Amino acid sequence: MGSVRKFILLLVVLVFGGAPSGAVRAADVDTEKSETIVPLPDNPSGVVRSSDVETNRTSESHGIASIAMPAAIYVSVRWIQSELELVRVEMGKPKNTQPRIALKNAAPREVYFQAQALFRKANRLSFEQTRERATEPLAPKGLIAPADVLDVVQAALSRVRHVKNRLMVKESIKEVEYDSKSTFTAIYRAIVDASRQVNLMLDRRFSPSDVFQEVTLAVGYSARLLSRFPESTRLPNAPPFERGKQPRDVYRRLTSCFQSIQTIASRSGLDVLSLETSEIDLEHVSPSDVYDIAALVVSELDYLHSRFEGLEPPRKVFYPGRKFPAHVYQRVGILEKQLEDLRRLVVESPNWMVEVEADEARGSEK
Amino acid sequence: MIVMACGVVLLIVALFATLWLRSATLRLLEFRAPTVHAVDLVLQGVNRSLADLRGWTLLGQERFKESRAAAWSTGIQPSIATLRELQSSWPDRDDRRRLEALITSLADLREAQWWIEDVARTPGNQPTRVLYLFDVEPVARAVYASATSMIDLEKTITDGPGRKRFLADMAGFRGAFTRSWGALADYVESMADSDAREFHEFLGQAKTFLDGVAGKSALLTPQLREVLDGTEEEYHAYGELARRLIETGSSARSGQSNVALHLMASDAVPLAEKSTALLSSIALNQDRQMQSDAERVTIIGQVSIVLLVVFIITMALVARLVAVRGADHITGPVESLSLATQQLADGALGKDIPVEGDDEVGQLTRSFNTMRGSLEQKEAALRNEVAHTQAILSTAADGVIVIDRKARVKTFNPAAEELFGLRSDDVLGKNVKLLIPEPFRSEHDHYVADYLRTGTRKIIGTGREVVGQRADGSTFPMWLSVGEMVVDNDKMFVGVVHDMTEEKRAERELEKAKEEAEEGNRAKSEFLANISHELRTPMNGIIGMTELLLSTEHSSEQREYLRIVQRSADALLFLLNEILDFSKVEAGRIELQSGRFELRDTFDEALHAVDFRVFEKGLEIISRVSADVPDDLIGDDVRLRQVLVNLLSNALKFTEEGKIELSVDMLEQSGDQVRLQFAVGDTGIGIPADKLELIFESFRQVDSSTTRRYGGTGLGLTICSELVRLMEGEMWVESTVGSGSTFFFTVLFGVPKPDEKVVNRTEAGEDFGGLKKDFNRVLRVLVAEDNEVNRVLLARMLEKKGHMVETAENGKGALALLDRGIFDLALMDVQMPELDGFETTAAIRKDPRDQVRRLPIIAITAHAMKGFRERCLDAGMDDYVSKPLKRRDVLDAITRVIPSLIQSKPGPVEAATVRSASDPRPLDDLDRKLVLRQVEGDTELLGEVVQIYSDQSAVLLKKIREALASGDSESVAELAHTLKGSSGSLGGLRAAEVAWKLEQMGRDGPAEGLEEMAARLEQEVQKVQTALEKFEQEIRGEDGEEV
Repeated sequence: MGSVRKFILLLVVLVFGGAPSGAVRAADVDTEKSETIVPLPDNPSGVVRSSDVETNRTSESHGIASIAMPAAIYVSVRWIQSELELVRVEMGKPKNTQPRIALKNAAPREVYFQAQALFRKANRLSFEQTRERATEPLAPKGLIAPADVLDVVQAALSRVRHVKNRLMVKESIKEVEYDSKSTFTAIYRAIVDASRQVNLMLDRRFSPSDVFQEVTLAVGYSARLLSRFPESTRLPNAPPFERGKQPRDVYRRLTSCFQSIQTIASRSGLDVLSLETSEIDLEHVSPSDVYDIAALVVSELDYLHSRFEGLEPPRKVFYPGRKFPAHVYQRVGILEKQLEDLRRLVVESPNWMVEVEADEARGSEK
Repeated sequence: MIVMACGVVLLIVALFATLWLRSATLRLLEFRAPTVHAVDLVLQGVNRSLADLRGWTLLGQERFKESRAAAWSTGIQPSIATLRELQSSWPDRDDRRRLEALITSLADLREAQWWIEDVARTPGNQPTRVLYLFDVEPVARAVYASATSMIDLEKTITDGPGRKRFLADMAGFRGAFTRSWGALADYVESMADSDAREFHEFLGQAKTFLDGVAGKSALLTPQLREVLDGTEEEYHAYGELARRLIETGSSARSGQSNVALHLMASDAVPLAEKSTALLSSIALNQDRQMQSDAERVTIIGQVSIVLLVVFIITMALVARLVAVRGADHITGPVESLSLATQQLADGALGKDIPVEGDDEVGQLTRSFNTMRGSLEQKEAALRNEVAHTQAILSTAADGVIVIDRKARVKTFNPAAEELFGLRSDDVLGKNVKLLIPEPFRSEHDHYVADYLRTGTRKIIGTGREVVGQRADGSTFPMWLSVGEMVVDNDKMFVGVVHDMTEEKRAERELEKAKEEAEEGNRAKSEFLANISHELRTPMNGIIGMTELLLSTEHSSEQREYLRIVQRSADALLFLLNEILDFSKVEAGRIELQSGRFELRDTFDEALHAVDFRVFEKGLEIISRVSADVPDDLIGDDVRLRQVLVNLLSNALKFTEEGKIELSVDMLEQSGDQVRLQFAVGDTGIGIPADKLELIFESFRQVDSSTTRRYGGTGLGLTICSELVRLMEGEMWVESTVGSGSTFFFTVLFGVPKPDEKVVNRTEAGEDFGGLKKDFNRVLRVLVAEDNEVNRVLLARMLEKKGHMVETAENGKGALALLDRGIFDLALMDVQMPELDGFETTAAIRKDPRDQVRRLPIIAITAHAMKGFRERCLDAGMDDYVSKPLKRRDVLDAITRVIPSLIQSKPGPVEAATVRSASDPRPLDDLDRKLVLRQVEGDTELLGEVVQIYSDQSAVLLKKIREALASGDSESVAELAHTLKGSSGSLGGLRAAEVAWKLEQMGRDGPAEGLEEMAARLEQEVQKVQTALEKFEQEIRGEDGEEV
């Protein structure tokens, strides 16, 4: 219902005009209030990539409104950043100074999972400061639309504002600048920045244990994908445990996994985000950053997984206890083997998705 | 035939039945049974994996993980692979579909097990624990901290009415809260309702206390109020979270308190059951197939057995019939054959058996008769052979004795009877050692026994000289050859003995003759050596004195007479040398000396030896050295020169007109060796073909008329060919009578390595302006020689070269002279009265004074035999000259020891650089080449010596001026001498020349012009310094440019 409401609001704004300047009022994005208003880009038709527009239920249900969505999401993220800054100053926490992540061609599904990571961190901040924790928005079924992203971003903004209110921060944000040419790539970057900032404000920052869970989720996705090939080993043996590994080592291994996914997607005729790994400052990588790239890997695997109707969802993961980066490194090793195997199989059978669909079609006929 | 046909039909049917049986059995063994077995293994593996997973979930022991992994890797997976291979043999298609479903089901099961195993031992396996860890515990800590802060604040407040109670409530709150917290922790572990109840109870108590505190608002300070608010807030959150935890625990107890067990029940077990059901279906089906196959096998087996029983009975009947009919036909002839065989065994070879029929028995009888005939022939041949052998033994010149393994004599032929004086009857059957004298007799049995035991041969198979004993006890040498033979599986030994008494006698006589001959030869060699020694000593006087006389003023007639004397003496010396060389050749005692030489010099010297006579005879002499022949060689140049001079002399001798050619060519070069071919050709009388070999024999010429006409000993070519052989070459001649002869010979020489050349040339002193042969330095020479003629000869010879000589008659006199003065060199006769040359040398080498101890000593001796030179060098002498003394030999020896003098003292260098005053060539300030040679191109060294020269010359010049001022001309001479040496060494030839003049003037005592000469020397030295500095700068500059 929330998405439908946003759509109507957007449509109203589009038809009757509003927020013509490059600023958005605070009231327009006040998630604490019932009438949520999302921002309007000046020239939406000129800024949205065709690849950013999903052709599934979003476009069918939202029509032209979905084209304007990137700018709306971007403004929400900017608002989160602004609110976070007030909270940060109040809490006396350090400011994030990490350079922006370099990437290209981000799609809503990838942004969704980063937004989900942001929400989880914001939710943890909320619990630490207010002893209240919100329920995570339900993951959409099928392909992820920009509206799904907006849902999660709004939920994260709500958590930040809740903290701000509980801390009784007097200052308020009047307006934020927005860019009518916002892309999902820009949103992705902004969310990662916000995510890093939240992490710095946590008493219990995102740790290798959190990354371990996210990687285990990716392992679950991969096992499901490998089940499409009866001859494959869905869950290979873990590589030997190597002591003394650092977050950067895990990051590097996850990057390798991401590259395997890129090949798999490419061979399958799909487009995925392009990550500039050479520009990443590995020396200063924190578990939170590793978590973010693990979330990216999960997002791509989810995308592949969503191409198969009837495929069992990945198994639920549980808190694994305290983990070191070396444990995570070992677990990523399992994922690496899985993806390597999957890549080999997909290279041998690039039409695997088509064949599967055909098989399913034949099965239904019988 | 009917019976046989029936039998064949039965066999064919039985064969097919057996093949069928085999096929069915194989199917059972190779397909059905393995399938059932594999299914069973998969089942076992599934059960085991589930059991291990449960074990891990409950107990957390690693061995369960390993066992579960093994269940899959060694049980389930290999069995599934086996089933995949076997499925093609399954008749039921449903089984194949079941297998595919089974594979998928097992993959799901394996995945489910992985996840269960992964979560089982983690905190996340218990949701309540996670809630407690992440939600409850942080809040509880905050509550506790807040309560503690509140108490601490209250304690700081001054006592007042109601405050103790107030503080007690605070403490009561904290205590009740802590107990509730503990109860909650217990609940997380136990999930027991009692713990939950206890938690609620303590939580209620805490609430009561907290309300009590909050209710006393009058006692609350603003600070306390703030802390209390925080505490209430956290406490509220704590209560909410704890209740949520207990709710979660309650619902979990219904089945989800343990995630792993829940997943096991909801996921793994159903999948395992599904797999088991599929496996059971496959197993059941295969079992049914197996039973069907087994029944079929049983039936076929029974049919086969019946058929085979019938066949066996039939064939037994047939066999019985055939046997009865055939027996009578065979036994008759066989009995006849058996009788004849018995007769043959008894030695009756007389008659053949009559042959009846052509069957197997008939053929056997014919073969038997053939064998009988053959045996008869062989027996006759054997008799002849025995007679023949007996005749050989009887007529053999050597004794033949055969013994058995116990050394008993079995054969003793007539020759042996004669040799040992024994009759065969006396010896046969007895031990052969009766023919052997002691001590060999006692050992003989051991020899035989050892050989039979070990098989180690000492004499058997060979021959040996031994001693035999006759019947009369006398012994004699004999040659014994022993052979071995085997007769009737028993070893026998055949000994052939030959009396060596006569051979021994002849051998002794030959030995004696040889010793006498060698004695004669030794006497001849000694005579030759002695006579040469005796002749060479007076020849020394004749040649030396003639040489000296020729160097003095004489009339032309006297000079001619002297030259005749000189030539005659030379000829006589040549003859003596040839005889001496020949005696060495004959004694095999010529040994070559190896040293470095320049081939072209040797060539020139050889030509020079004959060029005068060539000129006299009006002949043309042509020499040629091939361009590829290296000049610098290692070998014995003296002997090479000797061969060349000999051949040239021969050519000259036998050539009246025409020309003589001397040439050398390269034959081969390998590594550091070259083989050269020399040729000496002439246009003389030539040699007849039948004499070509003869001329190389000693004392032989072409004919006696040649000797009369041309002279000569006939030893030259013998000596030359031997020398060439020693130089690893060969000599031959090609000749045509009337046209001339050409003598060829080859020689193997060493070639010095490039780096050796530099060193050796320097050591040889040849780099000092090429003045080695014209040695001009004034040496102070000590001559020790007991022979007056030789002493005078040596002294004059050296003085004419400008050296200062002092003489002594023996070693004592020489040591006395060394005590008085300093010498540069000593020429020392080895054989002297009182103190000989060796003893004197030993005393000199032990002298504490460096100048004396290091004195170069050249030995002089009349001993020309090999080994004497080494003896002289071992005694500490530096070189060696043999008598008769020749000026050239002496000067060469001095030249050879001079380099060592140069190395120890800088002085000798000057001799090579000082020229005679009559030399018209102008001198430069500096001989740059000489400087470079002195420092061997080392610019650093050049700089160093230039500096030393500069410092030293300044001092010397100052001292010269002082000596001049005091009139000490002797000191002036000494100082000038030093300056001469150093200037000459550094290429300052003009300065050295002026220094030399000043030295000479100074030695003559105070004279006019001394000061002017000293002033001129100062100028020249200054020029040398300037030139040296300039040269040094140039050299360094070149180095810099190179860099």
